[in-house]
Amino acid sequence: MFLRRALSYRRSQALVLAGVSLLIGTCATFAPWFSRAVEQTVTTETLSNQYLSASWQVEAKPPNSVGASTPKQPEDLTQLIPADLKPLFTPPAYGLSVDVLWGLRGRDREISTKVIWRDGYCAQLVIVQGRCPQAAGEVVASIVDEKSYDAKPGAVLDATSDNYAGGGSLKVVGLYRPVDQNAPYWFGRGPIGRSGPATAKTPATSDYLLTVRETFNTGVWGYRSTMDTRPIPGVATADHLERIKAVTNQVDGNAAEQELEAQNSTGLDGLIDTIQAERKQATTIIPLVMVQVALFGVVVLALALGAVVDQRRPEVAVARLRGSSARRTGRSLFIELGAAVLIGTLAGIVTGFGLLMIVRATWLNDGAPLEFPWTVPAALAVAAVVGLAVVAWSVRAVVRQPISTLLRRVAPRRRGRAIGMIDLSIIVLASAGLVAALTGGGRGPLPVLTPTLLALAVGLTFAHLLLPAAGLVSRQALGNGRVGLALGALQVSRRPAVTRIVAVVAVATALVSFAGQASSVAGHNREVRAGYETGADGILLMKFLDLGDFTRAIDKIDPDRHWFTPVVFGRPPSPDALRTLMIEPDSFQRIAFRGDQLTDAEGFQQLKAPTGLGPIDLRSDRLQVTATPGKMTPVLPRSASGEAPPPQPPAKSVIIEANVVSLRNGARYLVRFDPMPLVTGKTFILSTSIDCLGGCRLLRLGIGRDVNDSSGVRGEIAISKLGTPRQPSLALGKAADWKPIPQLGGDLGSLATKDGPAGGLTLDVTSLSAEQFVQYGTVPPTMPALVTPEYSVDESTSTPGVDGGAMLIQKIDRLRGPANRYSEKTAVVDLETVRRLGGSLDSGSTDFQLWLNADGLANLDKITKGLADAGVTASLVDKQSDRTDSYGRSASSLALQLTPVVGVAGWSLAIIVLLLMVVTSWRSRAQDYASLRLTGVPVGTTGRAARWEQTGPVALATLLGTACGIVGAQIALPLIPLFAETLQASPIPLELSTNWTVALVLWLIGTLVLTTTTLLLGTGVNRRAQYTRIREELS
Amino acid sequence: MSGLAISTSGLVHIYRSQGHDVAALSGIGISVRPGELVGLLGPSGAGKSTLLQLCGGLLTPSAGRLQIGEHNVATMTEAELDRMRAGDVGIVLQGAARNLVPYLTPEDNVRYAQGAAPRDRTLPSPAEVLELVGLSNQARTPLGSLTPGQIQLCAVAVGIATFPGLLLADEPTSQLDHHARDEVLAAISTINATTGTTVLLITHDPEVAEVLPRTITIRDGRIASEGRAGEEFAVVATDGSLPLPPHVAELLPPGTLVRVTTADNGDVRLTPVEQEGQA
Repeated sequence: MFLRRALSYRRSQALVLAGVSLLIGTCATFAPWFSRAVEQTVTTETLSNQYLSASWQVEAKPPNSVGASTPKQPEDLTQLIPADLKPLFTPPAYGLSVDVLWGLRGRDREISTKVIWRDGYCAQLVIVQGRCPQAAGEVVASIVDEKSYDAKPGAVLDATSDNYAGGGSLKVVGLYRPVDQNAPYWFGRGPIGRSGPATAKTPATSDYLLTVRETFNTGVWGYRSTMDTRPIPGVATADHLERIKAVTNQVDGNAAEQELEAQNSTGLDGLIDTIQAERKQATTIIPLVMVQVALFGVVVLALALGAVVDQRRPEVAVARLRGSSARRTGRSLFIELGAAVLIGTLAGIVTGFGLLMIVRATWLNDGAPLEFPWTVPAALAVAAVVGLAVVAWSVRAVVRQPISTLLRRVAPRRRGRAIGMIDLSIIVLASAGLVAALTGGGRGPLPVLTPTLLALAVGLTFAHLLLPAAGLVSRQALGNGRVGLALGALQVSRRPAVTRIVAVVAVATALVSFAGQASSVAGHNREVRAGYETGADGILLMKFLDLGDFTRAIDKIDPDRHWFTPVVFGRPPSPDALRTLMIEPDSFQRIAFRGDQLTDAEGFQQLKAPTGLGPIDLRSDRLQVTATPGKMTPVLPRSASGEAPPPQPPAKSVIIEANVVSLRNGARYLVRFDPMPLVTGKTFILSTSIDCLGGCRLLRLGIGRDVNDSSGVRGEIAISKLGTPRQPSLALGKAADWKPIPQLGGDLGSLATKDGPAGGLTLDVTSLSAEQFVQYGTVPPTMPALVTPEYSVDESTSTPGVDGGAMLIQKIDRLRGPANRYSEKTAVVDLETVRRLGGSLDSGSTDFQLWLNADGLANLDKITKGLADAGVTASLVDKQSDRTDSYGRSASSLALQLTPVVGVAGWSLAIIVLLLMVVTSWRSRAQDYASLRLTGVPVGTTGRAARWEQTGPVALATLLGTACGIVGAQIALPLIPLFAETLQASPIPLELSTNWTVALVLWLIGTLVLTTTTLLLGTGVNRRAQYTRIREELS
Repeated sequence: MSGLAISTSGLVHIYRSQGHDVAALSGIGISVRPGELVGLLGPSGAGKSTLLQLCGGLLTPSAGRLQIGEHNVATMTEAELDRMRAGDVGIVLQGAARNLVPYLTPEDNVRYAQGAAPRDRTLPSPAEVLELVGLSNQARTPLGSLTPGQIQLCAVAVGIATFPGLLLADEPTSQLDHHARDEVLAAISTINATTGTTVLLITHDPEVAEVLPRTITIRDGRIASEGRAGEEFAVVATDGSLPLPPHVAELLPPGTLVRVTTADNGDVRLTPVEQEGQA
């Protein structure tokens, strides 16, 4: 009836209610909107950033034989895109290509490349000389091919289709350079920008030759038709992903059905799985964060309504006095207050949308389309219903009071300090929720509410303990003559409203503290994961032909390893086998991401190559040995069934062998002397050629057998001298310096060493035809290795060396952290040990890398120039900062950017409550202090009491809330998906320990903000404590 | 509506609080005729306001009978009490502002007070009500712009918004200057005379009491005396007890034995026994 005037009369109260409701409405609408926007942004950015993986690259094979059928045209492949998906995909990019071997006319056709046509390719090229092809048989060649093969305009190339019968002549009419060879136009099929003559291991290659479509019709090329397309980022949205995935999985099947002989190369399926995992993160984290704020908002709304309704008591009394029933009176009040709450809540959709627009333009880089998901109105409706329910509950509590109670100026409070039923219920419910959260195994929504529930239970309990404690403090302070403190504490003890303030401040600071922990811990984990996954600040990848060149080149650039640590990575052919990460432990500890935490000091010590023994160096083109067989006896090996084998003829000879490692290129050679007859006591001097003019190191000595003389034999071979013509007798050391190399697979004989003769070595041989070696102590017989924990290791476990051969490993069981960059199925070994072991490089399975630190990245130009001087092109293939940025665009990261919003909202709500409590109680407090002044209490004393009355409890509540937030974060954080879930858990563990710096800073800021507020409010109250105030009516 | 009679018998009200109970009324028996204007007098804490609130159904009697017109207040439900206050009983609380909705004009306050009245009841217009208390010219003036006397008149107007059969007014003339007091008193008298509404008002002001046709003095929760046309009388209670006037009670301290005798002319004589012995 008089709603407008009622709202207008107490507009500040209406504004407070509408403001708090606005916050609730904003949270309610913004959460689903933001969640949806994050999902769309992740979808858009993933499809944009990984456009090659997202692409369909459909390629139709040529017919099996000439004349069997004509090749499919690229346009035929378009039918593989269902009609409903065509608007979501880019217009198909058609192309034709054929692998050819070509040569300039009159020369061999040995240069491998592709001849390709793509629709509109000329626009993607810079023609540096000549023109773009216009007629069949005309091609443009890359400028790199002009340098490599003299393929300049006017040249005629004879080409033969690789793996097919046809071919033809091609005339070069121009030279090109691609505008951007990585542009989406090419779909990864663009010019490669490289060409080069044949080497011992690779054939001659050239960059692609580009031609007009008609060229392919002039000969029997056996070309392949290609059709490339991809989902358009921003047009293909999260809603389309499942459909796109289903169709993607059917492309090959559909192609077969339609006899297109086509295959689709795409990573879209896996990419969609990744996006879906990210979407799940967003839909978990955002409600988690926003629901807590909204719930806190509801609590604050209830408190605000309690205060507002309390001030309406006289009006309720008037209505009841005039015969209005409690129901009717309640309805009127409900409409008045409900209107403010409803308007505020509904207005939340506007602020929620505004907030969305802001974050969309900033955090989300406009990566999400504007949408109105059904969850927004649904959440708004729920918020409105909850808000109105709180209004109804608050109103009902007052209008049901007897009129005689309503007529009293001050609402009667319960005497004593018994905990009210409502508070008790909240404590019990919060505790029950907490217990459920802790024992529920992380399922359901309760665990994520842990910080709020904990703060609510602890805050309220503390608040109720505070009242008697304040009374005690008051009495003691009074006894000590500290009147200000005594008065302040007394005021605390007699005002139950303090319990509300303490609980609200505790919850607010708990929310802020939790938000801070969630944000900082997530950020820290993103950095840690990016660090481990990259390996170091930056990774420089290069190709070397041998380990020696690599070592010399990097030693020249940075001998003291200030900028980088060298890493060699060996890949086995099988994806399930162990990989080898060869490192320099000392520089790795300093340069790699947390390199010093890979293992402990003992672990690094065990990993390193042995020290103490000098190498046995030799430099010659011949190696000679002086050896004397001892008494030799036949040995009959037992068969697998344990039966004695048939008799063998006596052994006639053994072959002395040696392994040497070239100091020039790191290769390991086997040196074999001529067979030495087994004539007991007779000394033989044997000599053989070696490739060691550049220097070699003796690694192993061994005994082999001639294939025609492999009978078992046991005895001793005394090597009195081993050397070169210039160094006839190398120092071979003691017998203990030589260790037999373990043999796998049954009884294969043995080889051991004994000291003597003087300056030499005696080999104790049991030869059963297989080669036996003893290895010099500069290299352990089995390679010490730190092995990632998921890989089980036994005595036969090996890992590839630089030559691709198996190295038996000996596990050092001291791995303390994830292995950088290669965190699974990896054996970390010492590069120096591998270097000593030697081996011819298998470039196909070995990567050379330099792991850079920040200084290294800063000096990247110097490093790459140094490598270029060594004839090597290095490329920066990975950077930790890039990965960190990439994780920064994950759904988890985007969602956790909400945490500052939570912080501001938490503190704002706490300040609103403080203001509200002061607004509703300042008059009675001012009257109290005015009365005290009448009795002679100095204004300074009442001022101190007024200021500290709320400041003390608020400061304690801030501390308490911060503690609850920290504890709550420890419980809730493991449940927050910081990274997209994958089928296999990441070996890089999450680090969820408390960030004490953040906790301390937020506590200090919270204390500063909130206590400053209470101090200012207290000062204001004291200023109003005038004598005239005593005469004012309390109502 | 014509005035309502008030009839109480053995009316007791006890305030219950932690640790001890306080008997505010200890067996009050009064009878007020329809259309009568009665003042309740007595010292603070005597029980006047309690009696008024019992009559208005704001409190429930602890014992005894309380009849307002046809309403047996002691046995009525909350809804019945609401209906009684909505039409038959108007209440003006002490402190004029407590009776008013602060953001409404006098006219709207009256209209607001009529809001809960039974639909079958013919209600006076707000203008008519305000005319009766002399506030016609201030019908749409904000309350903040009214004088204290006018605010009190507005409170009275709200009390009679439905022209109830009984108007209960708790110190309607307190904190007013003489002129305003007289205006308020005149307005109440006018209401009483014009509408026939029974009026029961509390006052501490002897000058107000003097002009009231009937006063009832309450002391210690009991009827102490009644005044008629300026003369004070002791009232014999239904149980035969007789509260002594204060100047007599001073002569007869508690425990004094009194011989009661009647004279031939019908006078009743109280003679303390000790006094007789001494004599």
